[in-house]
Parts: sequence; C-alpha cells; structure tokens
Amino acid sequence: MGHPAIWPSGDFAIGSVIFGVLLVAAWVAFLLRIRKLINLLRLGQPENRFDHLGDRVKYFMLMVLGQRGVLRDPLPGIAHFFTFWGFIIIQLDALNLWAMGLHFTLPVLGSRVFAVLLDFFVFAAFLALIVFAYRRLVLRPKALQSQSHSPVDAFIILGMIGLVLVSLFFFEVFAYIATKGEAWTPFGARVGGAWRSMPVGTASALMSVAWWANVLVVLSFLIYIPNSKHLHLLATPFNVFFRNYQPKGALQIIPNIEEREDYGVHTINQFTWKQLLDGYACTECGRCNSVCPALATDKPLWPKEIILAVKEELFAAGGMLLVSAEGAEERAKTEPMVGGLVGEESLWACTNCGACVEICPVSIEHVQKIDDMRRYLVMEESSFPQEVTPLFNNLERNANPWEISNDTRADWAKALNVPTLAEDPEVDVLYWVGCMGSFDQRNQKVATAFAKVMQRANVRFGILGPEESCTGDPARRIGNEYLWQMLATQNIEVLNGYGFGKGTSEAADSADKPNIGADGHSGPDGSGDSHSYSGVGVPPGRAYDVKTVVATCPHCFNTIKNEYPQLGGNFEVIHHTEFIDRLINSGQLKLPQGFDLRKLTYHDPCFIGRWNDIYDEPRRVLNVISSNGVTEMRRNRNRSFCCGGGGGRAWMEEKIGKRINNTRVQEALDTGADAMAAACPFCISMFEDGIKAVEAQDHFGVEDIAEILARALDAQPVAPGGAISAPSGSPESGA
Amino acid sequence: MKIVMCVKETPSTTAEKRFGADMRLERRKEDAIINPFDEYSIEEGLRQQEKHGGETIVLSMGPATATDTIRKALAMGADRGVLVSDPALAGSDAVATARVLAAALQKIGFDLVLFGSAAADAYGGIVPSAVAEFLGLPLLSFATKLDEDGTTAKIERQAEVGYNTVETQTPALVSVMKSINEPRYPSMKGIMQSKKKTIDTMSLADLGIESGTVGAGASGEKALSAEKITTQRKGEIYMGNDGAAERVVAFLVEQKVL
Repeated sequence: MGHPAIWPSGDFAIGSVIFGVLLVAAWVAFLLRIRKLINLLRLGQPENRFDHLGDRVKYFMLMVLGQRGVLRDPLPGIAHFFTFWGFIIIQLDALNLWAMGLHFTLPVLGSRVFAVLLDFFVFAAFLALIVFAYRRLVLRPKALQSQSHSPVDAFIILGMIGLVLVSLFFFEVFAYIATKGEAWTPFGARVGGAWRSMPVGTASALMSVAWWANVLVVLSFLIYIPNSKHLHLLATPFNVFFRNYQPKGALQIIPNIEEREDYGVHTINQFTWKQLLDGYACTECGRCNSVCPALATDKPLWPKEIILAVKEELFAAGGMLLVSAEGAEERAKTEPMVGGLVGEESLWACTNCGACVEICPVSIEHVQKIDDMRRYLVMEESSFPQEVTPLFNNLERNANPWEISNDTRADWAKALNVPTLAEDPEVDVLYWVGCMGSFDQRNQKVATAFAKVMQRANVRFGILGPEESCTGDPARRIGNEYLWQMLATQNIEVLNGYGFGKGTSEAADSADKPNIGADGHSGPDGSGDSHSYSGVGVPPGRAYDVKTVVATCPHCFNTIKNEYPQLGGNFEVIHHTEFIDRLINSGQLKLPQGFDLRKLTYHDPCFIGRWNDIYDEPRRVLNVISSNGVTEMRRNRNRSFCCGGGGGRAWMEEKIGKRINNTRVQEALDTGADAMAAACPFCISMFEDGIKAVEAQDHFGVEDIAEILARALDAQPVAPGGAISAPSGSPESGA
Repeated sequence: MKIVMCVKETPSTTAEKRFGADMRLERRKEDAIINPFDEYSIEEGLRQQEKHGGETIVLSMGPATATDTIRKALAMGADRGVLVSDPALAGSDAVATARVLAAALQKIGFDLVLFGSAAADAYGGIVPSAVAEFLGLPLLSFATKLDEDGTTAKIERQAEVGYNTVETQTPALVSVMKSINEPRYPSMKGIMQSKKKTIDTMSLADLGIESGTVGAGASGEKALSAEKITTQRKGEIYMGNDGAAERVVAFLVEQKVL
C-alpha cells in the first residue's frame, strides 16, 4: 500500500542524511523568516481584532476554506479554488514524500483515499495553472498591470507550482510502473499503464529523480514564499480572520487627541499591526485598482500601490527599526513614506468611496490608511489643498462650510411651518437637515420636499435649526480629526439634551452588532429582493418606535450612526430613504402608485450603499412611485461608481484627469433613462454640474427620491388617509 | 529680529451685529475670532521669522478673555503674546487704541511691527498710521509684498497701474493687504504648543498711561446711529452663441470697464 521505497536500502544512509540536512535547513530558514515577519508586525500599534470570535471563525470557513470571495469572479475564481485546495493537498503529500525519504509511512496521508484525492487535485490544479498563465499572457486584464512591480514574480511562482505538479505526477507514473500497478491513482495509472513495458529498474530510478525534483522544489518554496509577493499565501488566511468587525462606515478614532504628541501616520510603526498585515496579505490581484473612481478618471491614485507601499516601507524602514531607532529616524527624514512612496496627490485624490475595500477578496482596508496619512498631513504638517482652509475656518467659526451665519440655518423652512426642537422638544422625529439641505439652494429643494412628505404622512417632526452644527464628516474625512471631535461633541450634547440619546445597554447592543461583510450582499446586478417588504424590522402600522433622527445626507447619517458612538453618542438614526420605505410599509404614507411615468435610473450613494448596505430601500420606494421601475446602470449597488464628492473631495478642486461626476452622468445617460434618482446632496450637486458639463440638461435631470415623491403628492392632493390607493402589504413591482 | 504683530479680536463676520444704547457694538464671546485681516499680518510675520530668525510676538488690546484669540495666533506659530487689558480702556476709539498700542510697543521693543489693513468690525483702518504717528516712525501701508533685510524694509503697494515700491529704514511699521500671502491653518502641534506659550498681561499702570487719556471719555469718535444695509445683487445671464459675446462687450463698455 502507498508508495514504494524510493531508494534501495543500500543508499539509505547517504540519501536520507542528505535529505534530512536539506529538510532541516529549509525549515530553519523558513522559521527565521517567519519570526522576522512577525517581529515587523509587532512594530505596529495595538488594535483589538479578537472581538466577535464566533463570527470570525465562520467567516474564515466561508472565505478561506470556501473561497467565496474569489469565486465572485468565475474564471480566475474557480481556477483559484482548485489551486488553493490543490496546494493544501500537495503540501500534505509533501509530508508523505518526506516521510518516505526517511523510510517510514504516515497514517491517513499514506492511504489510497488520499492518493486518489491527490491525483485528482494535481490534475485540476494543473488546468488552473494553464488558466492563470493564459490570463496573464493573453487576456492581460488592466488590474494586473502594476505600477511598481514586475510580473516576473508571478511567473516564477506559476513555474514552480507547475514543477511541483509535474514532478509529483511523474512520481505517481513511475511509482505505478515500479510497483507493477500497486499504486492506485487514476490519472497516474493511465499514463503509467501506457509505459508498462519500461523495465522496473529504470522506472525506480526515474521515480527517484521525480521524488528529488519534487522535494527540492517544495523545500525551495518554503524559503521562497515568505520572501516573495506570494507571502500572501501565508498571510491572507490570517488577514481574513482578523478583518474589521466595527461598523464599516466608521473611521477609527484618535483617542485622547489633546494629550498626544503625534497625529495620523507618517512612519511605518504608526500603523496598527493589522494595517501592516494588510501589506503581507495583498495578492496584487488589482481588483481595487480596477474599481477606483480616481484611477478610472486618470488621477494618480492606485489603491493597490498604497498597500504595496506600506509593505515595502515595512521591509525597508521597519527592517531598520528592528536594528536601531536612529537609522529609521534618519530614513524617515531623507526618504519619507508620505510624499515619497505614497504621494500626497494620491492621498488627496481619494473620494473615500470604499469600492476598493468592498471588492478586496482578502479584507484589506485601504481607506483607513489613506485617511490616517491625511491626518498626518493636516494635523502635523498643515499641508493640504489650499481650498480646504476656508472650509476648516468656516466649520470652526460658523459651524457650516460657508461664510454664512449659522443663525440662518432654519431659514429654508420658514414657509413650511416646521418647528425647531427649541419650540417643540416633544417631537418623535428629528429631521437632521445637514448643511447642504439648510444652505445650498439646490438641496434646500430636497429638504423642502422631504419635509412635505413627512407632513403628508403626519409625522411629528422638528429640526434643530441654529442648534445643528456640521456633523464634522468633511473635516474627519479630510484628516482634521480634531475639528470632527469638536463638532461631534457639540452635536452629541445637543441631541442628548433633547432626549435622543439611547440607554447605555441598548447602545452597547447595537454597537456590538457585526456588520455584514462583502459576502452578505446580493449580486451587483441589482437582483436582490428589492420588491418585498418582509425584511423590514418595524411592525406594520408604525414607522418608528423610539425617538429617531432622520437624515437626508448620507454623510451626516453615516457619521452620526457609526462614528458618534466613539464619542459616547448613541442615537437611533436612519437615512430618509429608509424612513420613507418604512412609512410606506406601515401604511402611514400613501403614494399614487406608478405615478411617475419617466424611465428612472438610481445612483447608489457610497455612504448609504457600500458603507451601510442600504441598497433595497431606495429601490423599493422608486418601484412604487415609478411606472417603469428602476433601470440599473452598469455599475450599481455595491459596485456603484462614486459621484466624486466623498472624502471631502466636494470641497477640493478636481484638477487632474477627467471629471468623476461627468463619467457617472454619462453612465446614467447610457441607460436611456429620463432622469437619475439620487439620495445624497453631494451626489445631486456633483451631478447637476456633470449634467451641464455634458450638455444634457435639456432632456435629463437628477432628483432626490424625496423630490420625486413630493411631486407625486402635490399633483394629487388628498387628505391624509384619503383615497389614493397604495397597498400597505406588498406593492406590485414596476420591474 | 523682533517682530510684533498687532491683532484685534472681532466678532465673526457672519455674526448678527447688535448695538447697545450707547451705539457700541455688543461683542459676544462665542462670536469672537481673530480679525480676518490680521491673519495675513500674522502669517507675514511668521514668514519673515522663517527667513531671518528672531522672535515673533502677538500684541492685542482687549478684554481679559481676548487671550483665547491670542492663543489662536500663537497656534499659527508666534512665540509669545502680550495682552493690554484694563477696565478703563472700554470704549476707546481708534486714536486711544493707537496711543495704548504705541506705549506697549515701546515697552516690548521691536524691529518690525505688522498690522492688518483694517479690522472687520468697524473697518476704520486708521490704527496703523496713528500708532506710527505716536511712535514717530515710518509706516509702509497696504503692502502686497514685503522684503526685510535687518536694516531696511521694502514693500510693494498696488497702484492704479502696476505697483509702487516703498522702502524705509527699520524699525518700521507695515500694514498688509490680503493678497500678500495665504495664511496657514494651525497644525495640531501648533495648537498644543500654543497652550504652553506665555501671554503677558499689561495694565494701563504698567504702561504708564493715565486712565483719563483713554477709554470712552477720552474718545472723540462717537457712533450716532447704525442701520442694516441690504444689498440686492442682480445678475444677467447671456446664453447661447448668438450675440452673447457682443452683449457682454456692450455691457462692459457701458460700465466703462473696457
């Protein structure tokens, strides 16, 4: 049973001794390298990634063992699946072969069942290799082209895996001949059967050659992998295990900001150990590059290159740090990471849209790193695009981005009879208008429309007026953490003052809720259950059961919901598209179904979509109001393409490359839609500009969902609870 | 080189202006900011210091709470602050203020004094020249560029056509225009360090000024009334390719711009 002896007993001493020495040497080299890699990680800052252990184990099974992430891209995905499992099984067989070299047989691994499994995977992995080589040599997807790394590494590994497979296969073949058909391996037996006439002695010798070839390649693998880009083979499973379980829309807080000596990241050891591990885990697959809106419009931002720069800096500067702090300090001065390996222009080009984080199959978090380095530039160097200075000054002085008195914040609502909380503190719902809704003429129309929708639904709501300050989101995303903390603290006090704070136990509960990862989404084709109301968690007849904050701005919504808890502010906050969806579901808002006869497309704003997984609610609402349903753009839901306004970009000039907003408007026009529905004031503002830029304003427009609804309600004025029929159960889909 | 930047605390430019019975502007602490014009003189002082070394000092006259405003200037990078504060100073007009600043400047000592061109509360713009008069020193006013080499100060001043170059021996006073630079936004390091920097407070007695010579009683400048002016901006948009350019040209000719 199993494999035969690979050399006559006479050679035992020499063969085994040589092999034994090589085996030990390779393992020592491997373990020394691993120790260095771990020591480098230990240079990083502490970060707790041991929360949600149960979820971590589950996710690990799914993504690593099940290969769910890579399988989303079918051709390389399936090939990867077989390479991955082939690799694992071949490694197990390596133990078998090593044992053979030392003249003993392992249980289980030496069995026939394993031999068959091995035989199958050798064959499957070989096919997969051909797929990979074809993809790199013939298809050459843009994502795989690297700015700073040569493809040589990739071919070395493909070649080595190929050698392992070939040597293993021929070992099976010659073993079959040498043992006269005793070894039981379907593919090996087939070829071996054809060569049965070969003398046993020749077969034994060739078997030895194949064995040595295999053993030597596998042992060199052991040394090569942790020293090459294929480090990811070792690091990825850990990186997936240690993925983020905090709300994904939240940036990490800088605690005790007034007592620190450094802010953000500009030397490698200021990253956390997990951020450094991201560098090891990067497989250089380039998916992040392929979805980046900045890169797609010719800006100098390659998300993959940022991650690789972190890794390169860790090996260079981190390696020096392990030896002496002085050398590393000197390097930080002469070859700084920020401004050197990572260009400042790259950092400022990022819209924080999160497409890179969302698509990364190995749970790398690009945006936090980019914003960490922005924090350094803003708070330590005071170096940022000049046009941002007035933004910061106005946020400090006027609590809004403009040189406008915050006392006029409620002026837009004067004619609408909307109370401020100072006038009526007992309201059920606080409408968080945001600066855009309050001051920006275009978005005042959205605020007005949403107020009318709530009035029609008999919602008892109010606004804060001058007591509302900017949430601080643009400041935080640009890197001014200090200003965000000041504004957030102020807003939290106001909200708590009006009784919107949640009890601590409830707050802890919701903060503990794991966010749904990349695997939790329905497909990018918009085929999720967008027409069913069954998933909404509020009982019919009531759209809200606690004091609720509703925001029309996804940026306000995201920071209040996901980031204010970092400063002790815990509120029930929802986006207005969610709220409208609940109002329809509960029967509180009756819409003239199919009223809007236009062909509509819908743009997913990044800060409710990717960062908060709100994809279905806006579509459900549109499917009620529109007779045509939603016509999807090429990139939609979690693959949506940013408007260009996030990450503080709305406050910066877009000087390089094509304009992101125009690109997206063109994509919307390509659907043949009459109008674009949106759900974010920044998207609306960016697209208004984009529509004019591509001269489509005569036949195309952008509207907030609330505006589309308000028009329908205006056109058919009825008393609340009146005659318009809108089934409260399951409205028919317009699709 | 010793550079003193004179700074005023003013209400935010967006704050609603309210006047008391004596027609004096009511100043609310929460609205207080650095006079936006002074940010340019602070920046210019810091840039001169970066070039030539020496010390930068922020000088202000105001209520005791004006130290917060001085701290903001220190956060931008100035070395230390001096606040002249005295209850008897309340209601001082531009000339009285200049008298006090001149005395404080003499006490501090200086090679170069920098002012913003005016303050964003009353837009008087005469304090720099009044201080120069009290000190008997030259004032290079409305600078859009400043070169200083330790013995002479040279500025450029916008003229109707091109600019004038004006030069004088130091010590001298300079008032700057907004186009001279782009003021920096304080870094966190700057903000944290500013908390540890010293701000000396001086009273009238420290400066040897009789309280009868300053304050509301000694001020000849009186506000009689104030009213809110609302300006109506109107715009005309000429669209399309047909004749729009001609109409724009005609408009500009009519306005005597062309």
